[in-house]
Amino acid sequence: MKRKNRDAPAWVDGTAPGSYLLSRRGLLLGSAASGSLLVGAYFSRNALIKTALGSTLLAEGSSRGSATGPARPDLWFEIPTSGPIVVYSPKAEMGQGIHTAIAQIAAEELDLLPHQIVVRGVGLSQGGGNTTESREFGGLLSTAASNSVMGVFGPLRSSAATIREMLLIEGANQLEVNRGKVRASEGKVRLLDGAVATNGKDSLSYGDIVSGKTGPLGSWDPTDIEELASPSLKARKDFTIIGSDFPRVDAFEKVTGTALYGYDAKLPGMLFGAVVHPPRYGATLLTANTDRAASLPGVVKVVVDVANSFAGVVATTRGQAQRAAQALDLDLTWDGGSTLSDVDVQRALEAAPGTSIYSVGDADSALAKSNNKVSASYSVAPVVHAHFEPISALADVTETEAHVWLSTQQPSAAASEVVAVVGGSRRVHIHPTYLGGGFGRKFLTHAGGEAARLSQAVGKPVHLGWTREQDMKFGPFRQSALLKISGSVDSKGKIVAVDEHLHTTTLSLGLPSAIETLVSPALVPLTGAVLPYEIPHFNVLTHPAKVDIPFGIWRGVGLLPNAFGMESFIDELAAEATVDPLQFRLNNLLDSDLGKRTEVLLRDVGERSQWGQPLPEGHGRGVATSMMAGAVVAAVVHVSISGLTIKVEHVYVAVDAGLIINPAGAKLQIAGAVMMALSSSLHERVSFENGMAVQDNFEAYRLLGAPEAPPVDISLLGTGDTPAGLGEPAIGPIAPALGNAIFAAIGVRVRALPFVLELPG
Amino acid sequence: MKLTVNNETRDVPDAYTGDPLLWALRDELGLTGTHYGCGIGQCGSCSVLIDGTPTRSCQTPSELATGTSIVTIEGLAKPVNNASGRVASLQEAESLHHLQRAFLEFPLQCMWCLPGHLMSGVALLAANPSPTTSDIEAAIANNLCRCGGYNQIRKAFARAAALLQSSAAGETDGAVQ
Repeated sequence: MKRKNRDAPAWVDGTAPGSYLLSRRGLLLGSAASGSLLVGAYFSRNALIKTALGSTLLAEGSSRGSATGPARPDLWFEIPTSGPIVVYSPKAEMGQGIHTAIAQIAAEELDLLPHQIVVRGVGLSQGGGNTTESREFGGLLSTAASNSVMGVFGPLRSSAATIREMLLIEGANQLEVNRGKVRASEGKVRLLDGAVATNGKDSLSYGDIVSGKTGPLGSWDPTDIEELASPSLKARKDFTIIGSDFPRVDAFEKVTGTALYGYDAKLPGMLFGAVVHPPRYGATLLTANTDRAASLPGVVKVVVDVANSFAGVVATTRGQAQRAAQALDLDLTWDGGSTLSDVDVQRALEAAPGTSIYSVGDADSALAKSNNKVSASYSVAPVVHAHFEPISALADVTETEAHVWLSTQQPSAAASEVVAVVGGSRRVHIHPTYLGGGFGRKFLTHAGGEAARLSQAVGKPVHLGWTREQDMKFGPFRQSALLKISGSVDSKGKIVAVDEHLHTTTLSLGLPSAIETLVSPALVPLTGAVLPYEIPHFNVLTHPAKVDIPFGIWRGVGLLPNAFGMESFIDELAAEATVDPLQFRLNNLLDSDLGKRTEVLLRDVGERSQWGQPLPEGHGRGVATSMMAGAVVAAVVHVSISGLTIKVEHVYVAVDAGLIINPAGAKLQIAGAVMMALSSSLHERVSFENGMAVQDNFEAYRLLGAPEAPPVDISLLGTGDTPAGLGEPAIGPIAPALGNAIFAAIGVRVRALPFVLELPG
Repeated sequence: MKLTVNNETRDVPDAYTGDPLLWALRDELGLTGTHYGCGIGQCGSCSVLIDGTPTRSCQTPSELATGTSIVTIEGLAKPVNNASGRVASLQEAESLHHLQRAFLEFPLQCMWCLPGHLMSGVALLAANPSPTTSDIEAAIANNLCRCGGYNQIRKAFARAAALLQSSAAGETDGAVQ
């Protein structure tokens, strides 16, 4: 705790996390040159906020937070004597707008204007030989599963409201009036109308209050602070900032090119690294001849560790490093590893034994008796995330410490990866940056360990940026999935029975193997699988296939394959029942909260898309719905088919994600998910040959471009006083709605993603 | 070699000869606002203006850019001295190029690809201050956005054109107009 932290380099914002993470006394006493007040809270454990605030404001040596929580707060507020309040966010900004949502929620309870608040990522330090402090700061930081807004909403409001109360108490004290005579507004504590301060002032900015307090704690009594930790929160009807289109807090840096992403991180005297990855997944390094690579211009060191299958180089420029790595690649031999190709993956999927995970009624006998029975198989190709900022890291490893800058969805996992390589007595500090896209890929397996190994070898800071080719071939990929579904309807158009077999490759999660064995096979079946329909006889079996290719989490995890299979199949049941697909869904909705929410959305997209109105020849509309992370989504896709070309004309989406913090940001998330799902549906596929992905860049692996991007009309029809998730849910209904639209347009049912139309015959 | 970037002539070691201009700009000159996305000229994230023309810097050997005028994302605005990195006032926004201001209003998501869209749009507006919808469609066709912000890009281009038209004739706004 007394360990001196290295100052942040000048080109990193001077308040960047890392500069005072461990300096607890500095936080408490405001002894930093800036004189800021710092307040820490636990976002992850609402109940601990009181303890955190109390212990943060108490002198060092007093009792810390609960032993069951993270040892240190993971959400910090810095109230400087002038300038904007800074919130240090436990959630990574990867484009989803979470830093803006966090600013907005905090600004609501702190009564701030947009320019009075900024958000930065919180840092994390780990290791250092003292195992009792292995997670001293930051706890388990992760940004995933559409959980960010849901997770921070309560704790952020409580802690911001507590700080507002603290400022009101101290502000009233400095204005020499009672607490009851002041209110907070636009970053100031102001006298109520009619109140008079003996010192003649009528307001104090929060910065004034922080600089004007006497002593580190001003008039705050730690006992009072503990009482304040259950502050009154604003009612939804009084929100003026939550629910508004608050400007993006990161936009200015990003439109001027000054934002720091992991690939952009730099230090004085930095060298450049490049690494060689195995030619087959899981292959181990057998031999290495480093002579040729070492002789190339600019090469500082060739770093090979056969025991750990590591091969890399450090050079003066990035180009020199990459050329040396290409040369080194020629002089390595590898052993073993995956031999699988696409056909092997398909075979493994087909062969995987099934386990019942859900069963109601007696689907087998209901199906056996039915005259209106349908069976179909749907397949979903593996894809890459194709985040535009490839995997990278800057590492600076010294005798005692390792500092790593990188874009990550999970700083705690990134820290563990570095600790595993250069840990021991070194303390590891993770400096999270903005992410140029994540989509699940930056949750695990970063380049921090590789960069740290290279930096350690040369004793200088090293930046390692993977090439797009390395990024695309490394994985982990979205699972390969196959859904085999049978079902039946009765003469009134009601669903009678469904028998669903979900064959999917299992995902690597980086968990301890015993836990991973339990959790991994359940992940795909259990995400995005809830249906809003009444199905009296329903069997679901999962057939997990573990294969020697790295599959992992991709936006929505099981949502896209589950929704594609089931919502395509619902359309096939509607056709069997000869009922309009939208009407068929409405007729079969559950009499439940989910059913009612879905009905509102289906009717909305139906109306806006002019469902049922005639369309030109070759055009069609398709509908689908899905649910994940508490958010229900319905979509209508309007498509036109010309020859073998599929053109998406228009997409209509309706979303119920509860309370929306920022409607403009929410619509960006939804439109972005729609485009990503369309790209998956129309173009994207990774194939495997001899244990390695074939596609390695955007020439062979096509993404949706602007000319194909349709208008997307979005309704936000949220209910309730709390937010649901929005990062992933709109991925769900798009592929099935598109497939259903193709069927409506030309009468052809395409059951494989990506959709490919074939000449008849 | 010497490169003239954002109106400033700077030395770049000869070790960059044959290497992409992108690495010289980012790794040597510290201009990391121009981004690496694919290295094969597909995504457009690495675009800069070379003598006014949007150019993939990942496909341009550094030495071929000597003697030209290079503009990167950092050079589009008049300098802003703002420690918070936020646009705190209209006065600061005024220093931005119309298209940068338009992207503040219609931001993308991760914005890694933004340099490419900015360069296409800046060049479009310089050549054609009143672009039609199809002019805009042509200008946005060759840059990818993985976050799927294509409709936002359309809106930003249209807003920038409107801002340009409404700004008083003869006033310069941003370094490259």
